Amino acid sequence: MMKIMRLKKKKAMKAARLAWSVVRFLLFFIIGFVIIYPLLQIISKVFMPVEQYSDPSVIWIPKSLTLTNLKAAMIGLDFWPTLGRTTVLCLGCAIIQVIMCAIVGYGFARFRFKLRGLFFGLVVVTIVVPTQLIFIPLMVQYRYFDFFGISHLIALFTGESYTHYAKNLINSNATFFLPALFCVGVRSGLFIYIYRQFFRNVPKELEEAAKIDGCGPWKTFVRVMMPNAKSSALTVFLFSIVWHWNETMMANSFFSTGNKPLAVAVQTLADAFKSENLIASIVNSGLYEGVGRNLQAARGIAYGAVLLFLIPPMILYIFTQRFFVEGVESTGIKG
Amino acid sequence: MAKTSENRKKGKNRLRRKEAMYGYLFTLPWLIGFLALFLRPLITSLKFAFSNVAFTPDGVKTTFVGWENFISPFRDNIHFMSQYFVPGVSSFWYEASLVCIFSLFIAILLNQKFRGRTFARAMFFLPVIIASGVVIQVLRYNGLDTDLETENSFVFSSDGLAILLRSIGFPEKIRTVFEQISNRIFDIVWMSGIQIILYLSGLQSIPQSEYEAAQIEGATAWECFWKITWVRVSPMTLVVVIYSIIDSFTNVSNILIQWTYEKYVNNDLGVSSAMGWLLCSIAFVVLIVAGGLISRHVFYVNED
Repeated sequence: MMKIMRLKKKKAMKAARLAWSVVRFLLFFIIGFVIIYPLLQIISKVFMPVEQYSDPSVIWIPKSLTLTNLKAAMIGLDFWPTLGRTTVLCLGCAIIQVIMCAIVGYGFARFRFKLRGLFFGLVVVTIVVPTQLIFIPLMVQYRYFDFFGISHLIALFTGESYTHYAKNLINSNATFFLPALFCVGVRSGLFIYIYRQFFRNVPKELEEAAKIDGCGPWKTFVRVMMPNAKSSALTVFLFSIVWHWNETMMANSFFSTGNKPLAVAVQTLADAFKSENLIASIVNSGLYEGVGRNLQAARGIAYGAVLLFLIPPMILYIFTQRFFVEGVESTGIKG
Repeated sequence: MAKTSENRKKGKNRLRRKEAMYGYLFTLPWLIGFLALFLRPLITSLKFAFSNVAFTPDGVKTTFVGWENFISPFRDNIHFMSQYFVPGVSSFWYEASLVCIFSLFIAILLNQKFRGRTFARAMFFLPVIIASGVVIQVLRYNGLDTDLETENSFVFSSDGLAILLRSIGFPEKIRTVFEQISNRIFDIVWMSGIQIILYLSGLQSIPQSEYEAAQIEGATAWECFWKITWVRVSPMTLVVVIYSIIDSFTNVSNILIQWTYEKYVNNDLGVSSAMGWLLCSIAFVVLIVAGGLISRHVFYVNED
């Protein structure tokens, strides 16, 4: 009797588990669809001739394939030079942030000093304050960059306006390298936080051992702590690349036309819905011969541009996906 | 005896001073950056908020106008309050709560063992990589809206749901809430990437033995959730809620942020900064209140 009951219970549990896994699969499928759907739509629309966009008999799978949209987007984005510029910018910022935020994060994690609490509170403030608030004055500051007040000092002696000794940083990568160098760049506050959490959890013995071996704090940091922080560094590096890649607001004002990074170029192309000039020039290039409706062409170009914009981060993600997810988990922003 | 202890004290003091010096030294780069590239522009923008700003060949010219920039948007456009301001400063309320619930739910599912878990995780994290303003903008304004009229309207727009709810006979108010939520599903899913990972890391720090003990005592899964999971992830809930609130206030999809950006593009810097400051101050108040309320219910495990 007991045995039968137990068997029944086992069977019921098995059935429940199976039902649950089916429900779970369905849930993931639906939500996954919400995430993947836009990507599928982009891919479908990019390789679809624009004439078929308004064709009700065409859903998802184009009747014929075309590369016109991609080619037009490449012209519109000035793709290869823009890609090169953007890559240099993103890599440069990421490398700088990996190093500088580690130094500052280590400072916050391992040294006790009076103003530490206040300083760290201010780091959190830099995370919270929206960039919108400071990027306009920053732009003015970069236009007449005074080298942290040195220009003012010289001007004081010579009596000329300080703008005379200021340097115009607009249109140069320095507009992004400088804040990265001084740990107030794109999401630097968050990176400092990640490093601090990591360094706080490194066992004290490591440091003490280094001290006994005669390492000063700086040497300890370079020789002992940094090699241990590889996983955090990788997380910061990857996130920094992605967030710089996606940054548009500051990039749009710090770079003038022709020098803009890829994200801004894509945005401009997509905005061409509003101004038909740009579209007209691309349509006139002959790629869209016979397409009477500019709007459809514009949509094709926008989709092409977005696909081109997404390919590099997607490739990066496919190869480093593990580090993105595990990095956040293990270096974890814990508590 | 007294002398040696005094000497020791002196030595300790010296060590401490040395430590503090290195602390300042290591954080110095950030301090310079904070003062020169954060605080200074912040103060300038505060000045902008109270002035009329004009670009001249000799640089930026400001004239003090008092609170004018804070009042004029409300005065000049009757719909500003209802169309931009209120949605801009209140969207955090449902966005943060929905994201919080959704990401905890998904994190719990992802924490279970099943085939294809790695793939599922990679997928849920995908929005963090590609959900930039640019992509969303192109998709939402150029793609989704126009295409949805012809295909898949049941999934994303609320039309299908609205008709369904109306035919069942739901009262108007509940219906609009549902419609708002379903309209936002796309945004919620795309906003939750980081939060899911945060919750995942929180879930993984819960020792399995607690669940086993509860099971032996005869606790149901429901009880296990409220008595163990929910309590144990509460520190993470604090982080997630704060992150979501910040995200909701500073995200490009915030309608007031869009409005200030438009004003900036139109060279109306004074009004743009004023509204930016207003939004930011409200965000700070909300953060402090939310942080205070939640941290009262946060349970920390003393591991040491």
